[in-house]
Amino acid sequence: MRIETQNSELRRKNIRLAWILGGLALFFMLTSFPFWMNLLNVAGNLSR
Amino acid sequence: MSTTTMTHDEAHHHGAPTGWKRWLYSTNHKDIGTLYLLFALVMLFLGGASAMMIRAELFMPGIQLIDPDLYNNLVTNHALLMIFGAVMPAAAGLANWMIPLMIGAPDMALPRMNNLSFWILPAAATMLILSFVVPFFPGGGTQINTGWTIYPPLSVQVGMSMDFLIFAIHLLGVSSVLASINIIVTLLNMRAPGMTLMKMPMFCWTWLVTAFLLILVVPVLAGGVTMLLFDRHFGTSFFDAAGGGDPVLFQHLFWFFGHPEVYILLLPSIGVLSHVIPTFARKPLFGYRSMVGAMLAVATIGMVVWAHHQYTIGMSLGAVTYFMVGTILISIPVGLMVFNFIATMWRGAMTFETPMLFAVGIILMFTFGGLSGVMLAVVPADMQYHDSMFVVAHFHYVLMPGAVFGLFAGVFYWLPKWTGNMYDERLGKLFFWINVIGFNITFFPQHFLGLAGMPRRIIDYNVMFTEFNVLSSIGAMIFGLSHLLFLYIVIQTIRGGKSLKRSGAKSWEGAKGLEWEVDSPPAFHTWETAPQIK
Amino acid sequence: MCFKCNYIIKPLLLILGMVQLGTAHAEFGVNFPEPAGELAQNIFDIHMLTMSIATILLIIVFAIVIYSIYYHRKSRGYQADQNFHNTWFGHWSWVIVPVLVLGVDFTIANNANTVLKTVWEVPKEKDIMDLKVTGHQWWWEFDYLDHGVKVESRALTKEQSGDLYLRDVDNRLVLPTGKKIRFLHTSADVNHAFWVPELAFKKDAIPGYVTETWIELDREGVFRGQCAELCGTWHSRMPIVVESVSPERFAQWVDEQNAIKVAAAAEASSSKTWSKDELIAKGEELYNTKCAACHQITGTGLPPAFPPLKGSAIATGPIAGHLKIVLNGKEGTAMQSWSSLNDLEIAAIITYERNAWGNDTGDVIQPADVKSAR
Repeated sequence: MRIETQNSELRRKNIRLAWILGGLALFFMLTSFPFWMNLLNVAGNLSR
Repeated sequence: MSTTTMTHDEAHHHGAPTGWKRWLYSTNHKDIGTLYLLFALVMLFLGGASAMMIRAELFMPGIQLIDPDLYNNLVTNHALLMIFGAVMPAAAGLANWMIPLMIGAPDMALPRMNNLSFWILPAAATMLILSFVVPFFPGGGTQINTGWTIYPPLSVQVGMSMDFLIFAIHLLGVSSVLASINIIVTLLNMRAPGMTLMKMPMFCWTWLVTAFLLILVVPVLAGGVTMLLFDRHFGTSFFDAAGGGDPVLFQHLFWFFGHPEVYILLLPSIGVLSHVIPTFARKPLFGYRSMVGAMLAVATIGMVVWAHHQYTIGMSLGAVTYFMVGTILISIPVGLMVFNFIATMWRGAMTFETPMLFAVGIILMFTFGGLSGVMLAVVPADMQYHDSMFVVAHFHYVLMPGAVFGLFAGVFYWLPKWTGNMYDERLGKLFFWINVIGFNITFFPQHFLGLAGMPRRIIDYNVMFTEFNVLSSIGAMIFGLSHLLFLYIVIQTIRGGKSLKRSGAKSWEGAKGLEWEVDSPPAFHTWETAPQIK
Repeated sequence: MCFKCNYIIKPLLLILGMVQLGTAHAEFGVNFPEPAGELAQNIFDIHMLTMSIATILLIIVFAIVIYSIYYHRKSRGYQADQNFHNTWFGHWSWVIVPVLVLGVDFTIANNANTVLKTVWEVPKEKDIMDLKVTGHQWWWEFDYLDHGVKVESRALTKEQSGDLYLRDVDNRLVLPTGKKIRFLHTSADVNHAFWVPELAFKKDAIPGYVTETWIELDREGVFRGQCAELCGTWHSRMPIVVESVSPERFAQWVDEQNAIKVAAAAEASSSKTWSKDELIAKGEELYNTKCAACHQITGTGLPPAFPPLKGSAIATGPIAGHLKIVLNGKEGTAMQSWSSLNDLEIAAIITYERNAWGNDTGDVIQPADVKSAR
């Protein structure tokens, strides 16, 4: 449905940058709070 | 790019697809921008309706119209609908429409993702509305009586509505992160040749910073509400003191998102002003470089002062001193922005069409809200203001001019470009005056209510607070209903007709920039050949 | 449309309206009430200082903008100065403005910091009086740790309090003047915040946390405040009334409270078997103060948040189940544990609940039954 306005090189560049930014978002979600630490604690408590 | 490769169903090059498929399958930045703006308009009215119900209940002491849980649910919904439903999508709509036009790009960098990030929004809105509706059905649990901050342990007591809300927040978060990624990629990779970053229009700069802020803080909110969901259903105790958790942790996570969110709402409107004021003062923006610097400074400092929303949780003296000084320092870049706007007006040849009226109103009222913000930053005094109506007055004085009026200015400024029709200037000015006067009658008295000792988020109050509440509620009715006039103006301009003037490519005498070089309304595809910037 | 007139007239009208309202009706406040201690006075002063600075800056900004929109208009034939941003001012304003703002910021932060230090750190004195404040949904519990007195403070109904509705309570928080008092804030369920503007600043009551504030009252009087942190359905019905009295009067009040406590304890621990009517009469009074906020005086509750007791499975089912929920509460709901009440009180409440509103079970629960169920 859309016109190919980007050549393949620009397209690759765009998608690569998008993945990097997406990775940044994911990184912030997983590290800016002690989510995993607490989850591990909970798992530890359950197994005990 | 005259040798554009086309797929087979693009027989008519410049025409738009027709029917519902045009909108549902759209990858065109203009159509998606329109969808965002229409969505925001609907949410503005839903959020406004809940605000008017709140003020109607507070008109007189006593509980007359709604019961307390429904009242608190309306308070919650008003905030969420306005922030996530109205202001952010409206700003994203402006970005979608204007950024490719301004930087000479044929479309957004990732058009299909653009489609996805819009179409998540209706699903999120449905979730949000469901969270409001389910308690009315048998077995639907209790209403969300926590306010938009959804602090545990109170939010753990709420019924299944809270789960709907948590998923709504997740969807809204995904939508805005995807939109932000798209905007950043567009701005970094798709600029016309010769347009360096420091030649970029100011609106693009503000959105670049906003998009980075969104990517950094929205995932943190998503994490916070995920933990809340786990606490509610899977027996974890992240926020439950009895299980070794920490109820204050949620507040930190929430405000780590919540404070930068304020700048996410504010900055796109600052971008709009940076175009409106030079246009109507007929001289270039004063201090482009210091504007960019100030914005980066606001974003950076804004990320590290979140705890001024929680001075009362009992931090150490060192921590509160740090947060107080950091918060007060924000006044430097923000003051510089306001100064640059005033200096742009200074010695200009000003005319006062509706966008400029809003711009002047913003400068005055935002300064007012900013100064009461400095008062709130001062810890000992904030311990008195905290959670009183003074805070409500303060943040409405910051967000209404800072975000919403900026969007109104942008809509009036670019409506001729989008539709090809000039809006009715007389009605536009009338809307401005009713709107601004209604706004001031609503929120100015709330400062006094707060100082006199009225807490926020209460449904019923002592008779000593009656006078100002009556005044505030009358103002709220004027303010709320004035938006019907806005709706009328927008519909009238879209439909066009003989009574309205047509707009040329350049809608305003003093307008400068690439977006004024394409037709009004622009063709379905613009800048297929990138312009050369000198 | 005449912009210039409106821009000048609108703020003027607002200010005029403000002054007029302020003088004509002295009974409603436009600023904080008069502080009742040095600490609150310092806070009040810093509030007035920042407000004055903010007002002055606001007037300057308004004046410049109004001047500009009056003189620099196209309709007056003013030609735009296209090189204004290239003058020395344009080149250096990005330094000048931040320096000026920084100066203002320092003035504020410096003054604030001095006050902050005194209010934040509780003085380390031996004879400081400790007061534990526990927020409950939706009442306050004041625990005089040094005197062994406990006060439960609940909002009065509209009929009982009249014009003071939502600002009046059954049992006031009585405090002596001229003594340093440390508040220890905590909560039994969700977040609350103790706020009486005359005393000092507020701090949140958070379950699992103890936050501290301190005050020293220097005048007698009655000061009113409210819970300031959203705590659920009846957040609006959590007033606080502080009665500041002389140290002599305070000592006398403590003795009275202790006498009442001793009498109540003696009554509860006596092995007397209570008659059904006695228990119901006592239970009705207790129910209406402690339980009726949620379950309502009529026993119909406010479903779905607060289930009805009238005809409920628990209030008409086995006594053991009824005792268990009152003593332990129900997790994940606003129903808390009531085990802090004495055996007699719980026996009376349960007896009342099982016989009122057509719950005619005829059951009579004795304090001894409660004791064995604990």
